[in-house]
Amino acid sequence: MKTNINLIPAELGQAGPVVRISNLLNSAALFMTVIFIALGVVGGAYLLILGGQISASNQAKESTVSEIERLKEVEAQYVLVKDRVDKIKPIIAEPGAEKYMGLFKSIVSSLPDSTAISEAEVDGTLMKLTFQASKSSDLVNLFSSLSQGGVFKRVYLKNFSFNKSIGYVASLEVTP
Amino acid sequence: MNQRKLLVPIVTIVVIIILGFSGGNFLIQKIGQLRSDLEAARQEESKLKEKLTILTDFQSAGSVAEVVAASIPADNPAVDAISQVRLKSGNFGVASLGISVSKPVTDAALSHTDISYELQGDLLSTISFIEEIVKTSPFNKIKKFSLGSASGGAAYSLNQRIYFGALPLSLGRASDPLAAMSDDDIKIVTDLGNLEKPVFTALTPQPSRTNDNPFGI
Repeated sequence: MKTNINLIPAELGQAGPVVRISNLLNSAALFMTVIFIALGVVGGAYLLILGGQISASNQAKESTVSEIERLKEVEAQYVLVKDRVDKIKPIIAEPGAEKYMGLFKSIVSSLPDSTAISEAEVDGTLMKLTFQASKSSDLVNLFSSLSQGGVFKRVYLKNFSFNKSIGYVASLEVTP
Repeated sequence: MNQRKLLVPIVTIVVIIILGFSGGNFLIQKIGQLRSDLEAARQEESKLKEKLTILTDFQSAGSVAEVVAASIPADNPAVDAISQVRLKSGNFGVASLGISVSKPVTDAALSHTDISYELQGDLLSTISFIEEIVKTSPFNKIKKFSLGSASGGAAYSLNQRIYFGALPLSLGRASDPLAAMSDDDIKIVTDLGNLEKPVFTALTPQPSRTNDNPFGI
């Protein structure tokens, strides 16, 4: 029976492949353990920091809420004003005759003495005007002034007639 | 002996890998959750601070609510509107001959009532009067102005619309966000604040006079 006898002390002998792999694995295990612990510590610290930030934010929120509660009356007033404003906004945007009163005034004030407005209707979309003039030239001047200013989108002559007693009568539909 | 030398680091590595995966997964999930919680908390905090700023600014702007509520009140302001028209027509030398108030039209947003006036006077003065009327409180719009001839001179018909509606009843929680007013909203508030308020005379109550001889004896 053949037996291997090694008389050289183990610490002086050549390291075998198993021992080298074992050393390598030991080093890897140590390195991984250190990394694992380090990452664990960093992660745990980050969790604590995040928790602290959330708690600080919650405290700030509570403090702001208590300040808002002190302004309850002001908030009620604000809600009232906002409610009124939101509801009136579309109504303000609707066309109204008041928008064209200035324009109507300028037409009336620029009429010569021989021309008068006998009928008028002003609403949010158009003006229906009936003029009476003793001279046709006054009506011509009026039409040209209405069409030249660029103020009106459309000037539509609805009716034109002549009456011996009152003179020329012209009905217009004017769209501002 | 050699196998045991290999076994210890291998087991250690396997344990570290397993712990690393499970622990890392847990840590990443926890960090993600806390980060989203922090984000939500900061957003809510920012909204609340914005609300506080809105309220503080509004408080420093003075008593706007009273003026706005008078311009668009909770109840039908027909009496105030008629009072303004009567007052202004006198100032412009325009006679308000007939007044009729229509039945209110109810709406989810704002209800309205139309008031019709029969007016008489100089045309230019009447137009100036109408321009002035829309600058008075309660808030009103001119739906139609018409001119026809009448026996006593030119007669005008004016159709004015006034608005009113129920006031908001609930306030919400203090932590609920508040919508800020836009520049357009602020302009509307300013315009409503500039409307001329109706003037009412408060009569002082007079003490009753004692009649010493009520039967004239």
